[in-house]
Amino acid sequence: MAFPKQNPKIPEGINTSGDNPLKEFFILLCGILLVICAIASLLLIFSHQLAPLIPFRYEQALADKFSQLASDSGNTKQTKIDAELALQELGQQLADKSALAPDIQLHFHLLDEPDVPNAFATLGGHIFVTTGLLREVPSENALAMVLAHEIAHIKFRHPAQSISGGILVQLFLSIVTGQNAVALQNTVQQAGIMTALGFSRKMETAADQAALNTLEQYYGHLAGAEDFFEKILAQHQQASWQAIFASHPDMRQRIEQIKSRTQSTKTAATKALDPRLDYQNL
Amino acid sequence: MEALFQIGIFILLLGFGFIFGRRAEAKHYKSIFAREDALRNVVVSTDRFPPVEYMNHHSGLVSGNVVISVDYFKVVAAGLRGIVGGRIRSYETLLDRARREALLRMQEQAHAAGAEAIINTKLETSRISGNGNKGIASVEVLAYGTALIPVPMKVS
Repeated sequence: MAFPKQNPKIPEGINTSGDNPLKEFFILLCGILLVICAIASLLLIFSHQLAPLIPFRYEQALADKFSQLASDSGNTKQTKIDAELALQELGQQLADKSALAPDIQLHFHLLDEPDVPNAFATLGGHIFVTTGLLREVPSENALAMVLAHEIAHIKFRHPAQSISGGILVQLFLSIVTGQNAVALQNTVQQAGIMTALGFSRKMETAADQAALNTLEQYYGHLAGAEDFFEKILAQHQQASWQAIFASHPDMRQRIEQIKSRTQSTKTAATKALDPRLDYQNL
Repeated sequence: MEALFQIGIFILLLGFGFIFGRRAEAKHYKSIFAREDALRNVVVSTDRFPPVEYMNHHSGLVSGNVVISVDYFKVVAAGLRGIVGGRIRSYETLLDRARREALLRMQEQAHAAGAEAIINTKLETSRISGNGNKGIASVEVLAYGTALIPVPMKVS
């Protein structure tokens, strides 16, 4: 075999292709975007069904990450700390009767808003009760009804459901793009993670029924359960009650439903509020 | 608003990467074709032993190496390709250019030394990644071989 005298001229296009890279780029981009959009919209459509399947600790981690409220509620006064503790104790006892999933942990917080009677449950098992609500509840039973109602929201994963559409899509996108949770953080903040979330009428009714079951288990009767709600209805024209009306729609209808259950049981004595939860001391 | 800003920057980088990357590539290929033609007489071979006609030549190490950066457009295109799989065409031209440029530089060195051929040519490549695999990476290709340089005729 003779040694060549010259390097041969090798034809182009063996190791490379002459196609315009833009063509390939746009085909890929459109295809992938289409698939992502399809999955994202499927997630949006089925978000209500999928939300309860999100592990609770994900929800918890999300809430812990973006909220200082989880660790400190900003209450420094001893009476407030005691009241929060009493709230936690009562809530925990109710939670024990609520048949919660074992991985769900509840955190009760007292918000220092004396003029706004309200209570709400948010992501990560956090339940907030305003001092204004403590002023308005006539008995422990009434407070327990409110707490059991919020616990039921957590139990049914309503907070996750109500913001799950956006969160699921964001989670999905962050997995696809491999980016960190910066965008996610913005969405969570926009969704108002630590404020009252809007729940549908169906969710509220489900929570009411579960709360009544819990109360029946805990006290053995339902006396006093509707007291707080009746008070709300009686005063609902007042501005200070608007918050709870905004977060709990169709109050009148719900009270009727609660009443229909409470009346069927025989009346029993309500329990007095824990002295630590006395509004006068706060 | 912030998202729009980020998308704007992304598209800008993509556009810059495409325009400048494509220009650089076209220019580079033009130069490669011209120099390959000019250096066709410096024969590059992978034979391990010198052919008989070069048996009495001097020999020496010649090498050429090149580092070519990938551009933003190529990275994004390759990233998209990474999701679905297949030939990453945007990197193929990059490596083709790097390989041919490294060989050309080796040939140029051999040509300067007066060599007629290069035997035992080897190619090595390594990745120079920028900023912990997050930045724009570049690729290094090294070509080396043994140049065969004719012995000057003895005047008798």
